[in-house]
Amino acid sequence: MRNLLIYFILIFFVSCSDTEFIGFETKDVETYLCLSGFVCNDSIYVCLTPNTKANYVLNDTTHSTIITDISAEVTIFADDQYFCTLQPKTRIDTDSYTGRISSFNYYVAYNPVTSKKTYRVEALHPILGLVTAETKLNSPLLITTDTTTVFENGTLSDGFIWNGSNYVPKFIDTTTYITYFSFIIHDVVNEDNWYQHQLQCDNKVWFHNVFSSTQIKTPANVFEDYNHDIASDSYNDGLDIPIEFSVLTGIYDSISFDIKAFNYDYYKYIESTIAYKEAEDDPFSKPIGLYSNVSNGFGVFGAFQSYHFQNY
Amino acid sequence: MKEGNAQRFSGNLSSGMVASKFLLEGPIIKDRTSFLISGRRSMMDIYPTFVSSILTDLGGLETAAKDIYLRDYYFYDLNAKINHRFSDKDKLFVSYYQSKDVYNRNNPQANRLNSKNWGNKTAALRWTHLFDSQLFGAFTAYRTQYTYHSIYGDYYADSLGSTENSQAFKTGLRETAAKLDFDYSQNKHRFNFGMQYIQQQMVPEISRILKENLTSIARLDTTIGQTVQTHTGILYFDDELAITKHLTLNAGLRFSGHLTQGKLYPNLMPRMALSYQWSNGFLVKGSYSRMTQNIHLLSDNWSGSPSDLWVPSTKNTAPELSSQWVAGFYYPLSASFSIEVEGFYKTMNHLIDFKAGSSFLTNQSSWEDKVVGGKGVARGLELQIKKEQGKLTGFLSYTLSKSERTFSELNQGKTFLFSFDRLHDISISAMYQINKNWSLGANWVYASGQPFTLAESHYMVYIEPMQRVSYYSSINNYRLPAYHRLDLSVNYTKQMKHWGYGFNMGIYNAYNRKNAYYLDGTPEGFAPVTLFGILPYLSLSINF
Repeated sequence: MRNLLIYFILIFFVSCSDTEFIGFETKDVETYLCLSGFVCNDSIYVCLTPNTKANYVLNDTTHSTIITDISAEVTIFADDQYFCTLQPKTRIDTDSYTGRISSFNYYVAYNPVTSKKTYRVEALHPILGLVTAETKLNSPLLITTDTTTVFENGTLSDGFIWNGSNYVPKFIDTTTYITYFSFIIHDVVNEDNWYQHQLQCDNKVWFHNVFSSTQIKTPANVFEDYNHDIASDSYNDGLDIPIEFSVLTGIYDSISFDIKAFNYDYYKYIESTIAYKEAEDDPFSKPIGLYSNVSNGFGVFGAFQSYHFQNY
Repeated sequence: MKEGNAQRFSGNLSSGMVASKFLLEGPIIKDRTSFLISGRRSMMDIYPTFVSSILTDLGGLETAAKDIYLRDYYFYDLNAKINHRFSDKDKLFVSYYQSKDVYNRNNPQANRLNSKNWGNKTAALRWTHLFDSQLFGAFTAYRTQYTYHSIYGDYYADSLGSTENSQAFKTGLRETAAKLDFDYSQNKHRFNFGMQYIQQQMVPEISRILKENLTSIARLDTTIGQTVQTHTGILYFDDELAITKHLTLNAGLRFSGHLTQGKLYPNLMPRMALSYQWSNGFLVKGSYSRMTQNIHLLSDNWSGSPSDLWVPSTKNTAPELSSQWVAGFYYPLSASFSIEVEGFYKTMNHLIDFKAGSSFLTNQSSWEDKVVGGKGVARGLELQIKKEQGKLTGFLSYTLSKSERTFSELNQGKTFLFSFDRLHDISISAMYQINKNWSLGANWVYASGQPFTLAESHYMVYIEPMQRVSYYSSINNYRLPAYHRLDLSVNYTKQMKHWGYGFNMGIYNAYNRKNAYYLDGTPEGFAPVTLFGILPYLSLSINF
C-alpha cells in the first residue's frame, strides 16, 4: 500500500506540468535549386535559390539552409541557339516567415529578341548538376486605344465637417470632367494568353471594382486572384477583347493603365499559387504542389508582355 | 448473443467510475417468450467537479484554459430483445439497439468550437423456421440509421453578441433491408444460399456557418447536400464441403446489382477457402475472396485530426472493389497453448480521395468535384499466441501491416501510406486467477502512430506573385507518436446461492501515457490532444 501511495504521488507531480509539445525528427531532404525567371519585352530575369529544410525539432526552430553556395553558370538559348551567358548579381532577402536574412543570386539580360519563339535557360551547378527550363513566347500584341473626355457638373464629397454635435459629410459643388477610356486587345488566334490589367491614379493602384465611377468590362473568362483579375482568352480566341472604363480625371494629376499578357507557363504558375494559397489557408486540404516547368529543380520559367499607357 | 432467459428472471447491475451498466432478462411467458434489456453509460462527464478536477490534474491534462477534459466525452448504448418460440420449429426475434458517442471540446477561452457525435439506431425482426433436419431457413428485416455530426470552428462572444465561423460535417445513412437465408446439409455438403434487398439513403452534408450577431449576418453555405437513394439486390450461394476427414473446402459465389442515380453496377464476387487439419490439430488454411462496398469513406487528415464523411456510390463514382488472399496456420503447442499465424494481401480499386488542394471546405459545389479515383494495397502478417488454461491465461497478438494508396493525380502518381496505416499493432492481455474469488488483470496495447503530412522543405519563387512554397516529398510522410498504454485491474467476485456481487478496481493508462488523439498546431509547436491520462477506477456489481 505504501508503494502504491508513492506511485500515485509521483505520477501526480510528474504529470502536473504545462502543455507538452511534440517535436518531429527532421527528415533528410534532397537539395534542389529553385529557378524563378521570365522573359518579357525588355529583359530576361533568372533567380536561383536553394530549398531549405523544415525543422520540427523542439527548441530548434531554425530553418537551416542546406547549401549556401548557389553560384551556377546560367546560359540562355533562343530557339535552340546560344543567346547569352549571364553573370550573377547578389540580392539580400529577409524571409517573412522566419525572419532569417539570406542572400541569393539573380541574373538579368536586356533586350531579348521577341521574334524568337522559345527561350531556354540552363543553370549548371557544380554539385546539383544541370537545371533547365523552357518557355514559349506568345506573339506581340496589337492594342488600340481611344479616350473621350466630357465635362460634367456635380457634387463631390470633400471629407467631413463638424456641425457642432457630429461630423457630417461635406459636399462641394464642382465642375469636373470624366474621361472614357477604351482599349481593344487584338487577341492572336491559336495562342493561349491571359490578360491582367491595372489602373493607377496618382500612382495609387485602383482596381476596377474599387472606385465606383471606374468600370471595366471584359467579355473574357475572368479568373480572380487576390490582387488582380486575370482574363483568359479561352472564349475569345483570336477575337477583339474590349476593356472600357471611365475615370473622374479632373481630380487626378496622373493616370496610367497597364496590360500584361502572360504565356502558358506564367499563367499556370499564377493559377497554382492561388490554389496553393487557398489550400494553405485550409488546414484540412490535401497538400498541393506549385506548377513547375523546371527539370531537376523547383520553380517556374515563364514569359509575359507588358504594355504601359500613360494619360498624363 | 444472449437471447433472454426463458426460465427465470435474472439480472446484473454494475456501477463504476468509468461506466455503469445493467442487464435484465427473464420470461414473459415461461418457456415461450422472453425478454432481454441491457444498457451502458459512461460516467466521467457527470462526476462532481472536484472529482473531475483531481482526475484531470492526475492525468496532467489541464491546460491553461482550465478545461476539464474528462467531461468532454460520453457514450451510451441500449439493447432490447424479445424472443418468442411458436413451436420447436418456429422462432421470432425482435430487437432494438441504440448507441451514441458525444465528444465536446468547446473551449471558450481559446474561442474554439470542436464537437462530434455519432450514433446508431437499429430495429430488426428475425423469424427462423426448421423445415426438417436438413433445411433451416431465416427471414430477417431491419432498418438501421447511422448519423455522424461534427462541428469545428472558432467563435467569439462579448457583451455585444457573438460570432461563429465554423464548419459542420454531417453524414446520415439510413438502410432498410430484407433477406432470406437458407442452410441445407446433405452428406458431406453444407449449402448456404439466399437473397437480400437493401435500400440505402445517404445525406452527406458539409456546411460552412458564419454567424455575426453584430451585423445580423447569418450565412449557411451548404456545399454538399444531395440525398442519394440506392437499391442493392444480392443473390448468394456457397458450399462447405468436407472433401475428406481432414480437408475442407468452402466455395461460394455472390452476385450483387447496385442501382444508384439510374446507373446499375453489377458485380460477381467469388470466394473460396481451403483448410487441411492434421490429427494433432495442426491446421493450414488459405482463402480468396472478392468483395464490393457501395459507400466510400472520405477522410481529411491534418495532424491526425479525424474528420470523416461517408459518401455514396453515384453514377460517376463506382463502388469500391477489393480482392483478398489469406494464408495461415494454427498449431496447438500444448493443451493450453496455441499459436496462429495469418498473412493477408488485399487489393482495392475505385477508391476515392480528395484532390490536391481540396478538402471538405473548398468551394466546389459537390464532393464529386473534389475527389479523384485510385487504388490501394494492404498486406500484413498477424500472429496470435493464446494460453487458455491454468491460473494464468491470456494472449499476445501482433500485427505487422502496411496499407498504401496510389492515385495518378495525387503525390505525383507515387504510392503513399494510407491515413489509417498501422505498421505495428501489439496487444498483450493477461489474467491471473489467484483463487475462486480474486483475480488480477493486465492489458498492454501498442500501435504505430497515424500517418499525416508535414512539409519537409521550403523554397522561394522570386517572381510575381512571390511565394514561399512548402514541398512535400510524399503525402503522409510523418507519423503521430505511437499509441500505447497499460491497464491494470483487480477483480473480486462472490457468488451466493441466488445472487452474487463483486467489485473491480484498477488503473487505466497506468503510466500516464499522453496518447495523441490528434495534434493541435500552435506557435510553440505541436500539442497532442489527449483524451485520457491516468485514470483510477472502481466499479461495483451485483447479479441475481
